[in-house]
Amino acid sequence: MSISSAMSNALSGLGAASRQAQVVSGNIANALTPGYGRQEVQLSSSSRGGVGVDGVARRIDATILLDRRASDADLGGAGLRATALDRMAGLMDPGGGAASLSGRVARLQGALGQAIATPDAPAALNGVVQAARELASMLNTASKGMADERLAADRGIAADVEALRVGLNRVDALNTAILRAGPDGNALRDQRQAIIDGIAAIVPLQEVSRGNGAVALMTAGGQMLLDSEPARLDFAPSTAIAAGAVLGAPLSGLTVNGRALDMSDPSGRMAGGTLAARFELRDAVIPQAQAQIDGFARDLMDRLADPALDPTRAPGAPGVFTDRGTAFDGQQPGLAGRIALNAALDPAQGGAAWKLRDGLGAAIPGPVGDARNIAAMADALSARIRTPDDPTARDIGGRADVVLSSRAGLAATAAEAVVFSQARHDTLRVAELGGGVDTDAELQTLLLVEKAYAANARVIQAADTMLQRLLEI
Amino acid sequence: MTPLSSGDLAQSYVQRRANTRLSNDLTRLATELTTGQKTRLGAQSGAVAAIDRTVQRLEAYGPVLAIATLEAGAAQTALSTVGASVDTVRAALALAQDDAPGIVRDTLSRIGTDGFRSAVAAVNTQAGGRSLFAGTATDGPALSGADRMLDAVRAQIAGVADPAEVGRRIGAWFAPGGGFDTQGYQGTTQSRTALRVSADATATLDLRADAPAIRATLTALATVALADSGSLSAADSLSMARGSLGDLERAGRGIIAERAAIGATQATLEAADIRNQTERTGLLRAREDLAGADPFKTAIDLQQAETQLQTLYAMTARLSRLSLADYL
Repeated sequence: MSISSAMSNALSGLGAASRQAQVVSGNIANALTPGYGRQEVQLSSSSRGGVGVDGVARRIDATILLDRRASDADLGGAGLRATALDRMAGLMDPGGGAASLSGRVARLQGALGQAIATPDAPAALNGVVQAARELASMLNTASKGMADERLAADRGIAADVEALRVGLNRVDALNTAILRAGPDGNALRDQRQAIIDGIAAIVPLQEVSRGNGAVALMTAGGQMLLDSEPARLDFAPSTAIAAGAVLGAPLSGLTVNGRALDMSDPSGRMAGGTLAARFELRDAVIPQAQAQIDGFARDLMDRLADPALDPTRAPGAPGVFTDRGTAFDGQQPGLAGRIALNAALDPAQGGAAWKLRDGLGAAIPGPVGDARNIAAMADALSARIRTPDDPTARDIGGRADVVLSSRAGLAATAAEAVVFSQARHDTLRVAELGGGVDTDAELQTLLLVEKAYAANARVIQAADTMLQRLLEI
Repeated sequence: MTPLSSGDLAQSYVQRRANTRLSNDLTRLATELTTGQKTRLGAQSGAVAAIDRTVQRLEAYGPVLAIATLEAGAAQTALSTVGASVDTVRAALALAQDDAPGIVRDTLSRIGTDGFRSAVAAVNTQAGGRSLFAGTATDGPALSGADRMLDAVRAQIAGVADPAEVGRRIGAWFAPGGGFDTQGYQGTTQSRTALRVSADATATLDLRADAPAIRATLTALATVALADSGSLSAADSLSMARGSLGDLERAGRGIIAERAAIGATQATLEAADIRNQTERTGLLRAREDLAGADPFKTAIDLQQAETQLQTLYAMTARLSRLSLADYL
């Protein structure tokens, strides 16, 4: 009968309106939830008359999401690199002109000049000893700082791999749950998106939808990480990293499903993201910085260990700077951490500062005005010579300047890369958030829903009145 | 389908990022204004570090130059005193008359002894606690006492009657290989090293008391001082004393030559000082250009950042009041 069908139409309208109200309330409640997909009720006219609810769609712009996740990874990697380079530059130049590597070298040279003028003054000789001690100590601190950075990078890799593993497992579990939940899986989908966002910085991910709501995860470089089951990631963290350690001996690389990956390739399968950045730091950037200061330490040590400098020294005996107490032992990696002031010169270690003037092998002090040894040392430091690492002939001060400026240059370039990355990330994030819940739009929808509900309720009232009239006959 | 609405979070994200950026700018500009140095040097910090290092080196030359100038000045004064003694004895010799040779001889001998003592005292000068003419043994006097030396020479010429022999023996005592090396000169035979007083200049004060000029002066003065010793007759010793006029004159010229050398060193020191100062000023100016923050520009930027931040606050407040919920 047409009246009863009118009623059933109005009932379907009421159902649709109340469903829409439910969805609107859900959207407004989640207006501040990041990663929430704005939900929309999909209506169509039903073949049985009235309106049918096809389902609740989750509106997410997949392209922007993909781009934003890629920029997350980019920003993460750039940020890591910039922080590490900045910290290493700070090891060489803690902020004051005199406290930097160049400043300490200048102080040593100045102290030597003063000692040449007054070689009889214990204060002048002690000044040289103090300046030399501080220079060696700065190199030691810098070397230790870089070694710590390297170990931190290794630990970071282990943490990233673990986070990736956990994330992939959870996404796999949610895939199954979404499959089972069917049309009511929107909240689970939100959760899955949030988990993938959590691991997006580690390696740039692409979501590939498989049937029935499940997704597969692939890196931008083409490594399949999750497709019906998560990939197996293996990494063995190191407890301590010695100075000359390299990838493979004994540092571990990354293995995916049993196959070793080359993380140093900038277009590799797991490249672009904090994982690749940490590998780059551990295996390339930090060792290069360590080699640079080791080269500087070697130059410093060799200049003052020249056999022509001090005739009282036994052949093979160390000069002003020792390699942990002895002459250079042939191992240049880590030399900056081992360089030390010769104990024979240090009053605190039972030595005497006058040996600077009279020779390291001298038994008793000689003529107090004889500054020849000290002058020879000063000349050795100011001589412009080449080293295996640096083909330009420079004096020791110039070498220090090169170390400082190259560190500063690298840190500056990395910082600029972060600025660019951050700007791009901001734009994409704003675009992504723009597709989220707009409370004004939801309230407008609510107005329409209220009106529709009232209209449908009125129709039911009218149909009911008509039926009553019929029954009163 | 183009979206008809823009999510709430997008606007708040933009505002928050802008707020952070402007606050950071404000802090940075405030620091730059108060310290006068740029805080974000980036790639320039290497060049600035190099300039700082060079300036530090230049400043380190200051004390060295001061010591060298002091010592050069003291050496000049000492040598001028020696020269004055020589001149005094020469004058006395020139004025001596021949009558009463015994008394004249004794007087000349006394004048000569005074001159010798004064020369020895001048050579033993110390500057800043260091002996100037003792080579590397700067902690002791260059020469032993004047009277000790004269007694040693007197012992050498005791009982000699020939004036030529007396003159020869005195000369031999002061010559290299004579008693002067052990009983006169107390320093070492190693001269002091050159001092570096600027990037490319060195200054050397390496005159020792056993140099030929000093030996010649002491020989000539001692000859006059010992005129009353030995077994010479009064007339012989007077003529011997007179004969050493030529030696005194040569010695005086030798001293002048040494003084000229020290004068050249003093000129080097002055030039080095000027060069260091000029270079330092130039470098500091270059550093200002590289790393200095222009106070006017920084102040203007600071005001602009402040205004922008205030505008942002006003906008944020306004936009948050715009909500449909208020009108329903």
